Amino acid sequence: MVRRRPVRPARKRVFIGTEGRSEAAFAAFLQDLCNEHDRHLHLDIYIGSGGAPISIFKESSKRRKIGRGDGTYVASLCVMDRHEFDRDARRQEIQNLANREGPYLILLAPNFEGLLVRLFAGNETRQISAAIAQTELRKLWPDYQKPPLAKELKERFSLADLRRAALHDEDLDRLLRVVRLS
Amino acid sequence: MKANDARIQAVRNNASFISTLAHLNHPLMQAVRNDLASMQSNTWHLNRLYPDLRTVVNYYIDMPDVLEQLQRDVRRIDVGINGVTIQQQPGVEPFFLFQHDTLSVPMVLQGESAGTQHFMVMFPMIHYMLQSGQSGVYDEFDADLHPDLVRELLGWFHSHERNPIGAQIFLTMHNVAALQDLEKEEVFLVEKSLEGATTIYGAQDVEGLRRDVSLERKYRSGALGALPNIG
Repeated sequence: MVRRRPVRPARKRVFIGTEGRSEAAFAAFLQDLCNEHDRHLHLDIYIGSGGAPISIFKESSKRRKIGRGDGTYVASLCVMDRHEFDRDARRQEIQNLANREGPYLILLAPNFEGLLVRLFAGNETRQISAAIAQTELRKLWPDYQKPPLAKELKERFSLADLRRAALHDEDLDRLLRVVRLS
Repeated sequence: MKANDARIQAVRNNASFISTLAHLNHPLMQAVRNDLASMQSNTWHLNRLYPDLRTVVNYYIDMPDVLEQLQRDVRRIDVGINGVTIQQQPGVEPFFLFQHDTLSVPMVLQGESAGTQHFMVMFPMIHYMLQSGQSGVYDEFDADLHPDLVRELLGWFHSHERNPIGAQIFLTMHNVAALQDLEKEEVFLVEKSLEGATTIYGAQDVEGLRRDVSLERKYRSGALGALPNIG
């Protein structure tokens, strides 16, 4: 009898620590795209409990250490809002830690809702403040609820939307590269 | 066989290959059909079957050897039960009584844990399969059961002593711990997309999956996929 050859590559692991449920839903949306496009990645998503950027980062870092017990990560990311990060007194400390030990920082500019605005066609270069991001998003997505579900993000946006926005967003571009969706 | 053969005219357009050949008296396919028809299952169409308590009690009354085996197994699996009897009184439906090590009075089935209740219902089917060599399909095998008890029950099917004729069970479960005792050829993984589409694939189809690693650990790590995508 001829032995069947395995046909599915084992999935590589990527750690994604997130600020909260919105960013985690976004990561789950990326996981679904990875599955759909046969990227053979497992995104180990940690849902953070919010708070100051240093807390979010340290929480992610701790979870990454615990997660390493199940296997190695090919990459590790920590996703949080740029708006909060930029005005935080300890941002340099966070950046140094990220550079030295990881996880790598992915900053959503100015925040999660601001990123979603730029995913809509024609809005990819818009620069809006964090204060009005949610209001502006609701003009494009009237029934948007925070935090969104990954399923809702999938219904609303495509990989093409992400790639178009990534052309004007270095962090999003890096995120897509890491998860093999660029 | 020619196109106008009367046997072809007798074939239904919604009949399977097996059913058709069995209908045409093919001995092997008749055997396969009979085997499939007598498969044990706790499902009917798309639903799980929940036998009523009276049916379960009466089964044990009619099959004292099954009750005897149950007595032995229930003491062995350490659920704190020391014995099971069936109370039969005139004018009253027969009912189970469970003797516990730590209770001075016996307990009725309704007072037992959901796991014990499930075990009482599933035991006759498992026992019958192991005794007869019949295959079976069991949905949500691990419902309400302790992970180690699930491993024990699966062990019965792997045991030549307990399963001398080689009954096979096809089951669904969420109990990851059971992966420790399974070979990759025995495991099929189910992954759902955000749209709800389901993909099923064998663990053996995953490249580089060695036999000397824990399938449970590999699954938990995400290397095999099919983890819930929560978000």
